[in-house]
Amino acid sequence: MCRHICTVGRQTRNETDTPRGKALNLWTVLRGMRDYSMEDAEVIFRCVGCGACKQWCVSGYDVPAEVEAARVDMINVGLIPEVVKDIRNDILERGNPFGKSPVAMHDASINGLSMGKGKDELDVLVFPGCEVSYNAPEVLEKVRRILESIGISYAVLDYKCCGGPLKSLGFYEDARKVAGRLAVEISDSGAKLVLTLCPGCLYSIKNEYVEIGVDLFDDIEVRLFDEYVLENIKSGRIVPRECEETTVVVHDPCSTGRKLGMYQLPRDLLSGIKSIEQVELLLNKENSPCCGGNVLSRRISPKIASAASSEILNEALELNVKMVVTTCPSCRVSFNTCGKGIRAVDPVELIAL
Amino acid sequence: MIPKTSEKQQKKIRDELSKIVGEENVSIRKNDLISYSVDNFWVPRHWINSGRWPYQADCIVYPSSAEEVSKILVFANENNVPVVTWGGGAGSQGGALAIKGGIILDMKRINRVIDISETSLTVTAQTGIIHQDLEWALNRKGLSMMHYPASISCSTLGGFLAHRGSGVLSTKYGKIEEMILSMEVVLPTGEIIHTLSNPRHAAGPDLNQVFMGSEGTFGVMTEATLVIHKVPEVRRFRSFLFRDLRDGLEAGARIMRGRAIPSVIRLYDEAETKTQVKSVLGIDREGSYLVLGYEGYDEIVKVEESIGYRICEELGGEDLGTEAGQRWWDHRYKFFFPPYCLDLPRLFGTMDTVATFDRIADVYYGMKNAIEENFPGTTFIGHFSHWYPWGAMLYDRFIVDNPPDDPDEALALHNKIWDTGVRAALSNGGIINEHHGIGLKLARFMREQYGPAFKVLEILKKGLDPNGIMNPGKLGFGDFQWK
Repeated sequence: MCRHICTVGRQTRNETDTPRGKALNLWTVLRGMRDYSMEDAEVIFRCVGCGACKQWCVSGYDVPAEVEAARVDMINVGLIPEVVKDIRNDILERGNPFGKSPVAMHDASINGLSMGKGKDELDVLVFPGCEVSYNAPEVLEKVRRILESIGISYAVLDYKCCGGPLKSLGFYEDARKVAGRLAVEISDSGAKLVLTLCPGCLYSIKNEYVEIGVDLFDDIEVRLFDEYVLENIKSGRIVPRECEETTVVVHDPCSTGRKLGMYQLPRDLLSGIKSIEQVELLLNKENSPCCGGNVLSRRISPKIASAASSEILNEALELNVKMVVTTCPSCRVSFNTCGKGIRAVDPVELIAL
Repeated sequence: MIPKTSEKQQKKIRDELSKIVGEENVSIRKNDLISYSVDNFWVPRHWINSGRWPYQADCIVYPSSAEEVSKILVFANENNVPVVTWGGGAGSQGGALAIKGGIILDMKRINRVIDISETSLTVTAQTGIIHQDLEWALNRKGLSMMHYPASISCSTLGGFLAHRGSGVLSTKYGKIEEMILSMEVVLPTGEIIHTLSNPRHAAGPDLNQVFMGSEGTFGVMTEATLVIHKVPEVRRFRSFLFRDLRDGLEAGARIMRGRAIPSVIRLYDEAETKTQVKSVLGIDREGSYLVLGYEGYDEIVKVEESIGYRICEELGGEDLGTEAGQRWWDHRYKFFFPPYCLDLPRLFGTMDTVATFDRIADVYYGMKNAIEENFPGTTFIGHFSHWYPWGAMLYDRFIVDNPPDDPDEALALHNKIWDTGVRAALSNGGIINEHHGIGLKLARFMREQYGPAFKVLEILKKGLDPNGIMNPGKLGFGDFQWK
């Protein structure tokens, strides 16, 4: 039970793009009936890795894992679509998957603390990730204000890739090197608590580093910034002020949701803010459809990403909500750029201090 | 086949199709031709599993409207190109296979919900919509089509209409042919027609029923208006265990004749109780397992339940309670998916049939004895899942655990078992299929089933599709020999 929910298959309406179509074609190669082709590569690299198929599959097939394995095979035989090569090169050479020129995105001297100095005084290291760094810097500005309002000494890590996108594409060796560099930077910072602004980065660090042979430092805790905020709201350290009355709907991203299981996080955050009313989409939590717009898919298949995001926003519009709330910056960017005229925000952006 | 007079001619055909639907909506990519060469029929699945290529189309075309379908069919007639309509490709009868090559028409771009009327409780939707999407659109308004087949997530509305499909609640809400009000059809010669706005008229025969069940041989259905329902106030299930199947069959018949109609009667024979019910539901008992379901207003459901439960108890049914019944509902689709369903490398088939109450037990035992006696080592299992005031449907399956490795030998055995089972059903008063359709698998039985009445279907076919381009070889029209 996967063809109805496949993010790409729903938009292309092509059987080949569904998990069944992919599996059938991979079978013909495994069975020795034919070789891989560039047409296969285009289909396999088009998969957004949302895991909706795995969630709905009553037979327990892990389609995303099979797709990733197929990508590794295809890379080994040199079948890599040009756009995928470009993304890989951009991450390795420019440090981001968007093809944008690398810039020093952050002031590493915050509150008098520079990277590598005053280690004992650093409460928190903020790791923004590529999406916030390049496409949603306003989220980082809100993060700074929240941390400063509660007197936290922090530094913001100048952007490095977490390696997750490279691993997802099947470039394991590249992922290992890039992730390894990040691990060293985090270790050198002296921080014992790292707050990431991207659940995709969090998932990579906590679940995938061990797969690609990157050691993570046992005494350093890595958490999602939104989790940290919720904890501080519950302890009373952060007291959100009442804001303008508004009705919002929560979209459960694939990373925070199906991968990390943090379904209550955005809902609890919003419950802590007076005058916010939450409504639910018909398909929510583990059944949430994918926005289609992760950092890779927006570049590999921009039309599919835009259409998948639009489909979710169409339902939000029918519910007459003012905003869509999502804990993933990629969903946020995808929703805000698909032209449906409804704003998407991270829940922490609604916290009035 | 698309006339292979030259590469130039083939390219000309694809170019003409591209002018109708756009170049990006015509595919001859190898991986696409493969994706559309296997449905849920055992034969192509077995072939591709064994390393043999199934029949493939020459190209896949993705129209976005009835107008585009019309132009494609006009073009196909002019160039003598076979056309096979593809919804979700989840049929078990080979109905969507392009056995003569040509065009596969994937309908899934024609997939909008046009209108939901809460006044008339009707929905109008395009036939390429995946049924789960249609159901969700209705659920958002507290409504439902109450059509819940196991293929809900991979089949289209058009597929159900084309094969006269059924869902788990059909005992109360009917099969799809009872839900239809009107439809839009593109005839094989390109005309776009509409049947009358509802079928309860006295203005001649009901044209809906001409096209429903025609499996793409009489034209392409592109839009349909169907009955919908408010989601019931209560929905409850209970299970019983009968000493044997005959007691369960009698219970079901008495319940249906009693006019307090349940939403579900699902009766498993002893073999399925020991295997399927045990593996999916974890209920490990000997006998014949029955699930009864009722839904609607609570006050009415209570009365209906009391009638049904009393009948079960009178026939010695052991009350297994509501939890067991609810468990069946919660896991109702699991029976049909791996690892619980029958799957390769076994050879298997579903020989569903339907008969009146005075014949259905004979149909079951006749088929069971015929299969097991003629094919030692072959297992026959069954359950009764769709019930009518006059009879019941038998969903029976044969299973060969270790079929021949050679695909031709396996196919020969497959066809012999089908011949035996279907003829046993026919000779005991059953019909060759109840809700999966005919397709390729059962095409050879259609003349035998209908006798002289098949002439009516032949005349309709000839009149609607004079060049025989629509889904050739299916539903008993045209010749076909396995390669």
